[in-house]
Amino acid sequence: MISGYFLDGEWARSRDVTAHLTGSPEDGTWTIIDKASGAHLAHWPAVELVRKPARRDVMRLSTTSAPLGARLVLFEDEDIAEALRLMPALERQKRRQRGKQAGLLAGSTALLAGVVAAYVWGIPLSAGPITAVMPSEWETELGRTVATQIEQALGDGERMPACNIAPQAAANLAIARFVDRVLEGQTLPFPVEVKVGRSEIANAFAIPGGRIYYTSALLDETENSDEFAGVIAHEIGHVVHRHAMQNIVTAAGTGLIIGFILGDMTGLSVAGGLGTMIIDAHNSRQAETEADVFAAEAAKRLGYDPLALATLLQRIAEDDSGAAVLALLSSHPLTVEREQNLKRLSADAPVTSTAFSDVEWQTVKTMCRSRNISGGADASDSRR
Amino acid sequence: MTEDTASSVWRVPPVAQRHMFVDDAPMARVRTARVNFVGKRRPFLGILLSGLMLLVPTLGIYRFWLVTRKRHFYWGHTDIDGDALEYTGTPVQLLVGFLMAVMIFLPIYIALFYVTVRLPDLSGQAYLVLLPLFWFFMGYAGYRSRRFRLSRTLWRGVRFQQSGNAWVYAFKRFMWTLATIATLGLAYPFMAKSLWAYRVGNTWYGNRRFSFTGRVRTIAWPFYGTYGLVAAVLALSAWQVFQFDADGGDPDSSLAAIVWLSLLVAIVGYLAWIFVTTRIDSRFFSSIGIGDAGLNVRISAVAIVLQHLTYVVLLGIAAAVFVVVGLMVLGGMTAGLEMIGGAGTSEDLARFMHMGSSTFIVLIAFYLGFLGLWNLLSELVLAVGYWKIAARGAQITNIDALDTVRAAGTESPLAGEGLADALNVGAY
Repeated sequence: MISGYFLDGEWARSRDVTAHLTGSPEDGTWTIIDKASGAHLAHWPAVELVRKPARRDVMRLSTTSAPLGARLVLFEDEDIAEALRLMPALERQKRRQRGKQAGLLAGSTALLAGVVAAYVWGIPLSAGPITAVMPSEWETELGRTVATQIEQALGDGERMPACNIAPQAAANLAIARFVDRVLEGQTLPFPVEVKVGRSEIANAFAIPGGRIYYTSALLDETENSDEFAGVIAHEIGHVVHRHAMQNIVTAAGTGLIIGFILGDMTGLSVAGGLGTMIIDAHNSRQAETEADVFAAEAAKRLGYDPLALATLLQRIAEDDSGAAVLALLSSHPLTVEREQNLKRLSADAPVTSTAFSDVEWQTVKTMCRSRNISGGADASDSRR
Repeated sequence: MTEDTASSVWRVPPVAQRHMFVDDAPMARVRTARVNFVGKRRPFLGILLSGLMLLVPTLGIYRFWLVTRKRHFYWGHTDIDGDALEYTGTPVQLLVGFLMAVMIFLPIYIALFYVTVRLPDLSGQAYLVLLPLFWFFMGYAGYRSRRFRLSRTLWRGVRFQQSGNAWVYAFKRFMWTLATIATLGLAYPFMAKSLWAYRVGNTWYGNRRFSFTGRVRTIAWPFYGTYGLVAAVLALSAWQVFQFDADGGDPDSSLAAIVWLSLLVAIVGYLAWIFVTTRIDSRFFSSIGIGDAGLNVRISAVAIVLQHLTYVVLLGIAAAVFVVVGLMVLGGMTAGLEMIGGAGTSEDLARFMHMGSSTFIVLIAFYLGFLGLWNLLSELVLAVGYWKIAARGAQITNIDALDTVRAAGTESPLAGEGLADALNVGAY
């Protein structure tokens, strides 16, 4: 006999009861009897017994066919022990439940793992095709807006002045010639434009739509034409792979994945923001590698020094001149992995020439020193 | 008060208890029952820790199971007149609900992506539109989520229910928010009253509807009194700073004065907020009736402030431990470099940190550790704390009137709860 209280699932009232087993624990029947009146309140088949969630020192019992809220509640240790002994169905049900929950958990985890794996390995593969499907005018138009914002950021509120706006100026012609040589045999949906502009922040980068920026502060740090060419070729690599656009596609995907994992689809939480940042940083590293490969191949083909890019980054990393150069390093971190990669890529590449002739290089190197500057960025649109 | 103390000892069989005191005091017709929370933090820590461990290998999917276990803990340890609450929801319901919410979010994502790419000039404005939209949906989701939880809560074998329309509620909440902002908070008591009345008036226990007798004047005094006090402190501080500047005080001490006064205003504001929210919660909870039975709740502001202090101190200790462990890990990595031939200088370490994958793994580990610790403390100190304070301060008057309640209703659909999860609407 087991004592407890009974809730019939119909009325919000509890009755003190005893439960009696007739027949065997395996397939007998439990009769629940009201202590006060002696009335039979319920007959529960032993095989149908289930244990409902409750705190450790309470046992809430029901059956699979009883009304939804019907419960036999045991709260004395000896009654619970007795129930565990006399109700083998409970142990079976517990194991079944555990197995079922573990299966559901494993199954849904495997599914999510599949999605994440598809994302991690698929993004490098699919961001390309997705970007390729998007009309190139989209990217050109987006590039125009980004250009305005970027130039204002670099130019300290006003638009960054170009170092030499005349497309036929010797320096611009030299750069354009180099770009043409690097792009030989490539088909691009839009022209590549290089803009050397006056800014105190040392940086070089490509934005959507094929524009490449190279700042005067970085030009001051650049010691020879191969270093300059290495950076430009690296950025052209980004343009050829359409990384700027891919980043946007990737970031959208990352937000979704992080939302899935953290359960916060708004992306507004600190956790979501941090997570997105970490994954995007990881993705951008892959893009850097692709651009390095492109730059190294261009150097090999044209016969100039492929390692000059690494030399420049190395020198800037060691130069402790402060925050001015940090922008370049944070967008192009020279990791040990990357340096080794660059060395491996440029192995057995004979250096047969320089990227620019001495005369050309001198005009480029000095192009920001002349007074001949302009505030209008759009003048560079006509170049290439 | 004997009946109160008797029913708070949950081990005493509830029905026997009732008979006992009816026999002892046959004159007492109206019996008041105390609500008690008997959960301990240590076993709960066990649930949270094992849950956090499982979250990593399951890529976060375990959270649906963890939430369910947490609810079993909260519900199962909340004892009302001898019978504990029972949460009948399952993890899979939460999982499915979340997937449904994702389906709602996908179009927003795609639209946002399109705006970013095609109308970059508008992307700033797009977020300006999106934030109020999220606020609106949070009201909707919060209401649906409340329905999800109520319809999966049993007491004495009878489930709770929620009627009403989540869109109506979300609209009311949204418009009242606008009014509150426009009136610099003065409309807040009206908002609180309106939303409480809607929520409570649409809550059912079995076939019995809850009633709400709260009025704006129920909370007007504590709110406007505190509001006036905070406004006065703010005005005085501003005046002080202004005087100081006008007298031509030196800028350094003027800055110091601003810092100290801001601190003062922040502390007064915080205490005022705690005082007002606990008063509103206490008075409005106590305005709830269930037929002839009623709720009587007292939430102590001091207890809440103590919880918050504990939380801040523990968070500080945890952060310190985190930093020390972090430095030790870094130290270990430098030592590792020494062993493989590096000089072990900080420069080497900096280069090592630039090595792609190792940085990535260390960052992720730190990120997850930080997130886990934070969640753990919030749940353990704040969430359990509030539940405990609210439950232990609650009484149900004339509880025997509930004996005649009949079961009704079914479990609500899943989508709302998932949306609340997706929108980060914090609730138990």
